[in-house]
Amino acid sequence: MEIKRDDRLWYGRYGGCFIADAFTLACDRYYDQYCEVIKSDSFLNEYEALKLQYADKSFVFNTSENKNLIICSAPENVYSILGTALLAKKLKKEQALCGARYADEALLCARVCAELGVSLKLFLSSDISGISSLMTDLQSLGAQIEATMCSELFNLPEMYAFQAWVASPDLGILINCRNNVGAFPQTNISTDFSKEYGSKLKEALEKNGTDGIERIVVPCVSGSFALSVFKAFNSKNVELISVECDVVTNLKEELDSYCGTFTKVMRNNRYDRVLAPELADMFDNGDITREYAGYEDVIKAQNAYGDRTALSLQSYAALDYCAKNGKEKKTLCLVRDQRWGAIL
Amino acid sequence: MSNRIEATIKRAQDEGRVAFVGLVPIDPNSMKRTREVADVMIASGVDIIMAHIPNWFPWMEGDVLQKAARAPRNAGITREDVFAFIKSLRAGYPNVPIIDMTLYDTAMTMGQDNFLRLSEEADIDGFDLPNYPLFYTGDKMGLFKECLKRERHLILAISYELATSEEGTEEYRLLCQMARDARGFAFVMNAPGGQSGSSEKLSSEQLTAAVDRVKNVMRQQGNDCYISIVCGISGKEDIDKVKKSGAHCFMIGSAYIKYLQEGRSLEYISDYLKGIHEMCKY
Repeated sequence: MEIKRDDRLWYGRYGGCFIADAFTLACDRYYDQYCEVIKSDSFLNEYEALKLQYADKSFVFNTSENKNLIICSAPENVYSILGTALLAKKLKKEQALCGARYADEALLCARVCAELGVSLKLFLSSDISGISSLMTDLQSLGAQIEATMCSELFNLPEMYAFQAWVASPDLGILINCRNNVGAFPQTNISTDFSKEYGSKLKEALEKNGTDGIERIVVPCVSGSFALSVFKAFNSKNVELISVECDVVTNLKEELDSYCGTFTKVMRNNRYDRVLAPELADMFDNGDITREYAGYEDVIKAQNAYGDRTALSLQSYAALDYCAKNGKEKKTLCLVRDQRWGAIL
Repeated sequence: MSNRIEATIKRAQDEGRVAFVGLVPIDPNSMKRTREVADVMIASGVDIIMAHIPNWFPWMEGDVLQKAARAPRNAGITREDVFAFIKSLRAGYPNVPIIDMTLYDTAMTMGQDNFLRLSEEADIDGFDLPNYPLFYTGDKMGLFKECLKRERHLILAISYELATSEEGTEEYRLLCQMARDARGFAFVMNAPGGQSGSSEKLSSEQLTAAVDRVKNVMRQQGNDCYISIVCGISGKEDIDKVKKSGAHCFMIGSAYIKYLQEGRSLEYISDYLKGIHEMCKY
């Protein structure tokens, strides 16, 4: 009865391909095409050029008053956007489909697609679709914008991009900004591209002359960013800690599938925060210590870091965690800038 | 095996008509109102009831059913509330086929065993879980096996692309598997992507070709299963197309759920459904 049983579909019990059988064959074709094209010099050369142009590798390290704490201001991880946009071009897909929650990722996606000559349909979250200058910029880059559904129905732009992909799976391609959306191989491909970020961080640490890190603390929303860091440092010698914080209280963890991938979701009856499936697996395996910070506590703690430029809520939570826990351990704490966009 | 689904479709065929499958939405304000809608549907000629168990991420649904999923969730209605409604509906209509309509995600969220237990307690006849990857995973989660064991049908959905696939392809192989394992009825999708309320529909010729092919493959596989058309069915033109195609039934949901969302009365809904029922005759 089976067409193809393949363990690559899963991260432990997470991940997978929970879409109708009718569409799974297109997923297999996409995976085969991906495996073929990423080996080609043409792809690799153009990907390198894109990374040089768009991937910011400026990790900035600061040692705090507690000499054991190194704070790293980290750029966004854009490798998945660059990689999947280039796949759209190389696989000659008619249209790339992307759901964007943040203004910067929407702009980057539109810029890259414009440069590559890839037709792009962007689904925007309601948090950013009202920014008129953003809309003007995106349109001037040739992106086709869809913003009504997130405003009127579910504020889940990736879900609408995925829905559009399912309607014509062989013609379109999903550009994933994060690793928590889409069926196999979409999550797997974005995870593959994203992991380079962790290697770049490692290189930057070495250049900075930093060694002997015992603990890494990383802010976590979907966990895609955290995952790319943890994958590079996953060894018995380093304690990995993710710090989550939500502006909405009373979220409960549930198991669910988000557009075809089985994972963990933090939710109440209005909001959802979907975790990357591979991170969910690492949580279950005990590879990562998972910490939550209360919203009120983090807001209070922000004052202590007032000299810093605006950081994400989860970054303040990570700093606060480091201030309160294990000061004796040599710790790398990653922080990210506040972004224009979604609250979850 | 014959359950209420086969018996009902057979009866409709004996009466010289296609059977009418209708989706009952969950009213965000009151389960009493949900029951009233179901009562009106049955009284107005809906043969088979699909009970909408809202998905938290309804990516296979169009905007009407997304609203129908969003509103109960925002109102704090739980899956258990929905199952309590289905159970009460079964008590009121012991002979009407009832099918759980949701994504497999719901079973994941609730736990498959819990989902099956509650369904069995409500004595449902089948499951429409269109994103359960039965063949792709080789029934990894064991849902199909459980359905067979419990004598409840897992309704399979066949896209136009699969239905018309060339012999020798992976698509054709999958079609054969679906044709072999379909139970109750198999959906043939009238729209790409299998999205409810779709405005993009197959032509009459395309639909007929798809249904003919699926019937032939079912015969080859020794499975005499019924066929239902789904996606984008709303009026006379669509139902004429269904009848011409040789399908045995069709499903409507979005068309009248939209009216309910617009605040139309139950009398209005009843008139619409009775009109559809009239169109079912050959």
